[in-house]
Amino acid sequence: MVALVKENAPILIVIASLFSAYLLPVFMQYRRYGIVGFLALATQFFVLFGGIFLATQVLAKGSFRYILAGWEAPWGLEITIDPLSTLFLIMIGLINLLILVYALPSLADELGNKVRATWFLTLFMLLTAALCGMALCHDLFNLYVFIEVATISGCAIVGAKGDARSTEATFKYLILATLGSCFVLGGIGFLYNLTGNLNMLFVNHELAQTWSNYQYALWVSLSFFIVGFGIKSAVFPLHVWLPDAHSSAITPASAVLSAISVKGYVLGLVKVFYIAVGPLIVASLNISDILLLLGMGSIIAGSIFAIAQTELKRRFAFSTIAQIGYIFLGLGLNNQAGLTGAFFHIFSHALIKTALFLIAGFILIKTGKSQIKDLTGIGKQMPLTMGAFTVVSLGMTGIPLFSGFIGKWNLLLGSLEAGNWLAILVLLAGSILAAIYLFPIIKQAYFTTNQDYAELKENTIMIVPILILAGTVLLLGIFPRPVLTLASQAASMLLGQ
Amino acid sequence: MELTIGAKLLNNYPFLGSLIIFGIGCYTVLSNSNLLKKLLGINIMESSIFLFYVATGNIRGGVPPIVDLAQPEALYINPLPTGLMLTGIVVSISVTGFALALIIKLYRFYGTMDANEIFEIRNEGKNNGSSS
Repeated sequence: MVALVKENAPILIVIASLFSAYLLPVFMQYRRYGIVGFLALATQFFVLFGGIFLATQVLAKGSFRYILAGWEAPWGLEITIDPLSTLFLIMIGLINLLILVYALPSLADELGNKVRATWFLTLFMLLTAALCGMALCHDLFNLYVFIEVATISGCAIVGAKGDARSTEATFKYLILATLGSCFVLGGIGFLYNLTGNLNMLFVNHELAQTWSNYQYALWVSLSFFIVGFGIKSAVFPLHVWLPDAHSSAITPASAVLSAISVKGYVLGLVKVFYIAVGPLIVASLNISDILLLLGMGSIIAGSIFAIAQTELKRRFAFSTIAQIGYIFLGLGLNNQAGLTGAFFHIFSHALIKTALFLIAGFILIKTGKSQIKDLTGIGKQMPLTMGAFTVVSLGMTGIPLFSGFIGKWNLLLGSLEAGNWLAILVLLAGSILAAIYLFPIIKQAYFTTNQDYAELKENTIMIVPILILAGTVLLLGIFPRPVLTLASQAASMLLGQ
Repeated sequence: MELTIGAKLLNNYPFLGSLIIFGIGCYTVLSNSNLLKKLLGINIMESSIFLFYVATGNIRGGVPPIVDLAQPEALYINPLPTGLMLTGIVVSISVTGFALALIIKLYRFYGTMDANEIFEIRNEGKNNGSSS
C-alpha cells in the first residue's frame, strides 16, 4: 500500500484534492462538520508531504516523468516531476494548510452558516487540485483544462461572500479571466497548428527544427499567450480585475488568490515559453523584452497605485501587482540568476502576501477596522500581530536577513549579468516604493496612541499561522538553501544547461 | 507556384474567418456596458476558437476517420482537434451558466444590467455612507 502510494504520488496529489472536494458536501449532508474540517486539513497535509517527498526524489535522482495509466507519450498523458513543479507543490501545500488553520474557526461566522462554509471549502479544494495539476501537467491542452478549473473555482470563491460588492467583482473577474482563457486557447491552437503536437516535449522538438519557417505565426501565438496569461496573472496594463476581486473576497479567499492563484498562471506561462517553445526562440523573437517591459511597468505602477489606497486589503492587492512584476522581470531577463530570483520570489512572496492578508483579516475580525487611518496605536493592542506585520513588511521591501532579499538579490545579479541598467533602477525603486506603502502603517501602529486603549485578546488559534508565516520569512532569509537549490535547479533545467 | 499573401489568406479562409470573429467577440466584450452583451461577446470569441481548431483538423476532400476497408487510400481528417473542442464547449457552457447566475444576482442587487449604471449606484452609496 505504502509502495503503491509512493510510486503513484504525483497523480495521487491531484486526485486526493479532487476527491476530497467532492467528499466534503457528502459529510455536510450528514452534518459531520468536524470530519469536513479534518478532511480538508488532511488533504493539504498530503499535498505538502507529497511535494516534499517528490522534491527529495528530484534532488536525489533528477527530474522524471510519470506516465498516466500506462499509455506512452504520443497517445497518453504525461506528468513531469521537476524542481519547478515540486517547488510549486510545496508552496501550495504549505500556504493552503496555514490558510485553512486560520480559516476553519472563523469560516462559518464569516459566511453565515456551516453549509456555505463547506461549499467554500469544496471550491478551495478544487482550486488546490487545479493548481497542483498546473504544476504537474506536461501537455498543453491539459494545462488549459486545469487553467479553466482554477479560473472558475477562483471566481466562485471571490463570490462566496454573496454581497453586492463581491458579486460585482466576481463578474468582472469571470469575464476578464474567460477572455484570457480564450487567448490562451487560441495560442495553443496556433502551436498545435504549427507542430501537430500537444505534448510540450514534442512541441519543443518540432519547433527546434522548423521555427524559422513560421516566425510570424509563432510570434502571434506567443503574443496570445502573453495577453491570456497576463490578464490572469494581473500584470500592469491588464490588472483591472485584481484589486476589486482580491479586496472584496473573504480573507482566506483573498489570501489564496493573491498568494498562489496568480502564480499558477505565471507557472503556465513559464511552462509554455520555456518548456514547450524554448528560451532561445523566445529570446530571438524579442518576446523576452516584452516580458521585461511588462514586469517593469507592473513594479512601478502597482507600487504607486498601492500608495494611493486607503483601505488595508486594497493596498495589499495592488502590492500583489507590483510583486508579480518582479517575477515577470526575472523571466524577461532570461538568464540563470534572473530565473532563480523569479522562482525564489514566487515562494517568498507567497509567504509574505498570505501573512499580510491574514493579518488584515485578523485585525478586521478583532477591531472591525479596515481603513488604514483607523489603525492608530494598534501595535500596543495587538503586539503579536503587528510584530509579525513588521517582520513580513521588512521581508517585502527586501532587507537582508528576510526572505524577500534573496529573490531580489538574484534578480539584481541577473540584471547586472544582462547589463540592463534600467531593470536595476526599477528594482531599487520598487523596494523604496514598497517601503513607502508599508512602513507608514507600522509607524502609525506603534508611535501614535489610541483613545480606547485596551488589550485585545490575541490568544486564539488564528494567530498561529500568522506567526508561523512570519517565522518562515525570517528563517528562509537566513537559511535559504533548500528553496534556493530547487529554484536554481529549475532555472538551469529550463535554460537547458 | 508562389502564392501572394492575399491568395494564401483566401486559401485558408476558415482561419481568416475565425480570427475576424475572434476580433468581433473581443470588441463586443470590451466595448459594451451591458453585462448580457459582454457574455455574448465571450461566447462569440469561444465559438471562433472552436472554428479555428476544427479547421485545423480538417482536410479538403477528407473523409470522417472511420476506417473503410473498401477505400484503403482515403484521406482521413484529424479527429483530435474536434475532440478537444468537446472539452472546450463544456467549459464554455459552464462559464456561461455561472455568468448568467451572477447577472441575475447583480440584477437583484442593483435593478439594472448595465455596468456603468452599477458603477454609478455603487459610488453614490459610497459617498452617502461617508457623509452620514
